Amino acid sequence: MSIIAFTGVTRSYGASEALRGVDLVIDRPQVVGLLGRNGAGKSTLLRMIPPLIHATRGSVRVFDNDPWKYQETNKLRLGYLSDSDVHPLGLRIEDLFQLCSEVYPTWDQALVDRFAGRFGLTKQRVLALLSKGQQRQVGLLCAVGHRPELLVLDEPAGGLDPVARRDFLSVVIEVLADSGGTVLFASHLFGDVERLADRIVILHQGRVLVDEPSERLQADACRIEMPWSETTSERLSAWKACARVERTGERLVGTLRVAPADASAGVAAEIGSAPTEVQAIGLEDLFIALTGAP
Amino acid sequence: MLWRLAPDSPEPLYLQLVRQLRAAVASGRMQPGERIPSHRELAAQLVINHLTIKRAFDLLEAEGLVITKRGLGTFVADRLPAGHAAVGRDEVSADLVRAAQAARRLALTREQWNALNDRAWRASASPEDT
Repeated sequence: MSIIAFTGVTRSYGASEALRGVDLVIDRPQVVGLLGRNGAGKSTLLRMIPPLIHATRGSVRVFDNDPWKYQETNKLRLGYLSDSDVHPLGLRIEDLFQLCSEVYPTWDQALVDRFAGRFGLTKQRVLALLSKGQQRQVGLLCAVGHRPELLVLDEPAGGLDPVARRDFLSVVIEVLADSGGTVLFASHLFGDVERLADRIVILHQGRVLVDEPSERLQADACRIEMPWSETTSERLSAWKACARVERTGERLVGTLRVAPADASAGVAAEIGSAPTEVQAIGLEDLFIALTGAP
Repeated sequence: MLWRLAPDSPEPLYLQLVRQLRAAVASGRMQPGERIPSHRELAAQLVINHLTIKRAFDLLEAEGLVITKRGLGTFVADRLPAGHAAVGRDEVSADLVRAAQAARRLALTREQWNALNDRAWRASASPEDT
């Protein structure tokens, strides 16, 4: 029984490979934050869920079934916000909600109205006249209004100002606290990912680079400094726990997938000398070390 | 109590919550028996996943610092576990060790360090202490 299961999924666009064999299973309700640089394959992955695109190879299962065969029933259990939603721009907000209510038997207009109020949206306004941020907000409401079990959000807060972003998050959090459902969302905003995600998946060059509970990912991360030498650098780089080694002047700076408290002993055991300094780092620094150009 | 969450800090959010509640109880800002907002209310207030809040409070409950009364909510324990004050002391102590290390790096004397401590003690007084 799983909510989402990707097995060996690849996807090519012409000669370029967006996904190169992704395995990802969500088998219980949780909030999964999907991180990755531009072009890592995040949107491609998410688009296979509603589904909008086919996998080139491999298997995609949503609610334990083939999303292409069960599109009509899956759609009622699923909310999806793409990174660039296109609404019929001539409609008023309330017309769009009316359409949604006809598509989704579980559409909760009271909930949607409450959130629309929080966003300060006037339902009589025409979609074309809304700001980009307001269009995102309407998009989110369309995605959550039928109280889906699974919410898939692609860059949900892209282009939103800090206040709107916070309101946006609070809607997702409230829906989540109500339903205990699953959220899979792609984002570049590390603060948002930490606020929401129980589990973090880092996609890099079409593959899953990291898939861990978010608190472990944060706990096992540090930066060390020690005198630079070619040998130290080579030995440290060869260590499985080492994410990145850089040279700054006469010093070596290493980013490790190790808890700060264990770093000195770990490095000493691995390369024979201990670091002169150890520092805890946040998710963003770890992400940059893992996915930055060498 | 006022919570202060720093999502970009290396410390996971649930540990920030745990540490801050311990400190609030140790300092008396939260009183024994005081009601703590529900996970849901806190999730909405702090804009974080309610499971993060649950994880923090599960830990605090295991420590005996808070108790959940079915249907009523979560409260600071009426009888605080032995050693809860020590938790606060440990934190202060760790901060002091860091400060002392900095003082040694600056090659301060013991007397200068003591003088700094005295000054910090006075500077930290709230109006009702004086």
